[in-house]
Amino acid sequence: MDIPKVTFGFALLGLLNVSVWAQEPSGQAVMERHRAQDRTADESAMQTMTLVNSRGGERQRQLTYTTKTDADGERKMIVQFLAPADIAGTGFLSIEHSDRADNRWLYLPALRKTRRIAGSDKTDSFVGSEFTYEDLDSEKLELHRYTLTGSETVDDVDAWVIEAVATDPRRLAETGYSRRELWISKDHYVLIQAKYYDKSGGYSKLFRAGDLRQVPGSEKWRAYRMTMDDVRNGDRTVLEAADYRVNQGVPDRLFTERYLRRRR
Amino acid sequence: MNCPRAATLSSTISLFAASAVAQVQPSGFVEYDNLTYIGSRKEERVNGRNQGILQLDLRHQAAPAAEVFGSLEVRTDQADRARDRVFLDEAYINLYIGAFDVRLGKQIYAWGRADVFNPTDNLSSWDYSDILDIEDEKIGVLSARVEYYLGNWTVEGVLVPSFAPSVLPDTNSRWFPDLPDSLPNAGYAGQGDAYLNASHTYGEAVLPDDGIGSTQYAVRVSGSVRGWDFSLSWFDGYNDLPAVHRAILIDSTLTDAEVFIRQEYHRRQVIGADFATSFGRIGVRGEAAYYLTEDWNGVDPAVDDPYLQYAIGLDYTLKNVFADKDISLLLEWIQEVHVPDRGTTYTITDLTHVFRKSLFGKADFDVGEFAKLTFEGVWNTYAGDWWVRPGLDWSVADGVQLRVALDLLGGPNDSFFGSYRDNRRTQVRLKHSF
Repeated sequence: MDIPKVTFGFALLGLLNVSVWAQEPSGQAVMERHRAQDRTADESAMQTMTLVNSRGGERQRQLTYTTKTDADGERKMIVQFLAPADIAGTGFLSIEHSDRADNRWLYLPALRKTRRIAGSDKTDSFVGSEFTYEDLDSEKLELHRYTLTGSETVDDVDAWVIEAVATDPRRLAETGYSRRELWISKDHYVLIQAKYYDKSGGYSKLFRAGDLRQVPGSEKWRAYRMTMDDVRNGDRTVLEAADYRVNQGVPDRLFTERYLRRRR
Repeated sequence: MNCPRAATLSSTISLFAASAVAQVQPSGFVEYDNLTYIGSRKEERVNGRNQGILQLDLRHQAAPAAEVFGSLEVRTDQADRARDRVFLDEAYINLYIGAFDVRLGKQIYAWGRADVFNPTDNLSSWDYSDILDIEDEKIGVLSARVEYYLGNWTVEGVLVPSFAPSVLPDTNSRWFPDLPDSLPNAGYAGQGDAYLNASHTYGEAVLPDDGIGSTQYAVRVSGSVRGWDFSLSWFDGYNDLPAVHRAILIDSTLTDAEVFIRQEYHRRQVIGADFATSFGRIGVRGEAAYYLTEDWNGVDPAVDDPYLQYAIGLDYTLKNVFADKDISLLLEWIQEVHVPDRGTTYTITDLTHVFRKSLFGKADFDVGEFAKLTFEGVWNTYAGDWWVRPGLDWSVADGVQLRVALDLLGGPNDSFFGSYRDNRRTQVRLKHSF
């Protein structure tokens, strides 16, 4: 008589295990779903970047960016500033490489020069914002270990909480973070929040994404408002996006020094 | 009979003009710039600057593959009305034809990958009327440029039919060199005086002929391979700075000498190369040019002998130095080498040869989100003279920049910056870009 009970008990335990697995996939599995959602062959948008200092002072920049990702996940990105007038025409071109440092150039119209900038210094601020070049990189799953640490609701969005730690030696040398905590929405696998911890383990920055919308004509979801707070000094950068376009068949020739200077 | 046709033509032109005007993108800036010298006042020299500039840039997309650009500068200086001017900085048309980009008209060139000193940059001349203030002071040249793009390679050819010399300081400028009021009497042998009273007379500058033989050419091949950008270049044209030829007439009493000065622009060929790469977090840039001058045999002391100039620089950012703020550092070593070496010497104010063994440094330190402290300077190790500029750059509002800076100079009397050490000064510049 007891045997069936035990069997039932094991069977129930087995079901529970299956149920638990179904609700809590591995961190790696969540990130793979996130990457699949995030990755596009190409993408462009207009953005308004607002820099806010701890005393509430604001400076606003308008820019366009276009990215293109190849089959190996290596991404090219071109950013062109439209306003304010003193930086309008400034352009940034980045070409990622998996086997060596990225290529990066900045076009400065006042100097009429394109300047190569160190590609391995991912901890530099991106054009004076709270975002670093590293923050703008596409997520490199093979260079990190992702651990699911829980589940939380952020701004009414249910999300997985993932701890990301760099494991690749070169990435460890490049990164400005000891670890990151990532909140990935359970419905569309969009990064909705991230906490960044500096090399000494201190909590340094908070990223939050809002106004999640499906890009018209595509399956992809994007945040139309993003903020990055430096929690130590109170400075903040707000990015508001418009006119997202994905998979438009952007040509490779756009990601060249020629187009960086030409602005068109 | 013609009235309807004329009216149609007129309205068509009006429509076209209205459409063109509507598509013109205006931009530019308004700037106020004040320089106050804190060294001793110099009689008969302009002891300051109190100037306003309006620069208006107009860009028009005339066709999908054609763009027109013009830039007009209006400047007035209350401290020196001779500096008032209305000046066409640039005016050109861009044509984009397949793999070719063509630019025709008055335009400014910026060749070379080094940050501070660019020996390969010989196409545009400069306004040196203020030697320390050459930011945005390049002068456009009437020319044709064709660029051909092939993958990561670019071939660029430039043809400059006319010559535009650099602008030198006026005689009433604090940057006009002090001419000696006496000269050693070379033939002194107990007769007359050991030193002669000197007076100076400037003759008309000798410019290149207007003929086709004075056309200047340049070619550059640039590429980018595995993290290295580089280029090779060739320039056949004129030094935009003159050689100073002197003739001295000594009177019969051996007491007075009249120095006749003639400025003449000489042709030269320049072979150049540059590169830029990075090692880890250190950016590395270098540039070199060998100048084949008209005086290959070194027989004319007024004309440059052949020489090599190079610059090699590093840039690095120190992270979280103070209150989570970074310091950006840049160092550049500049050297001139004479090949062959004939022991050439230069006058101390020869602008072509200011940097012979010189170290340039620059540091930017962010203070708050919208301001940075800056420091830049150069040390001429061969003569011991120096210039430093501490300053503050503040983004007052979107498109509005304030610069407050101090220029300090020093060194021996017979050195470049040392000869200008009384020209220490403050600068306040407010610029609104629109």
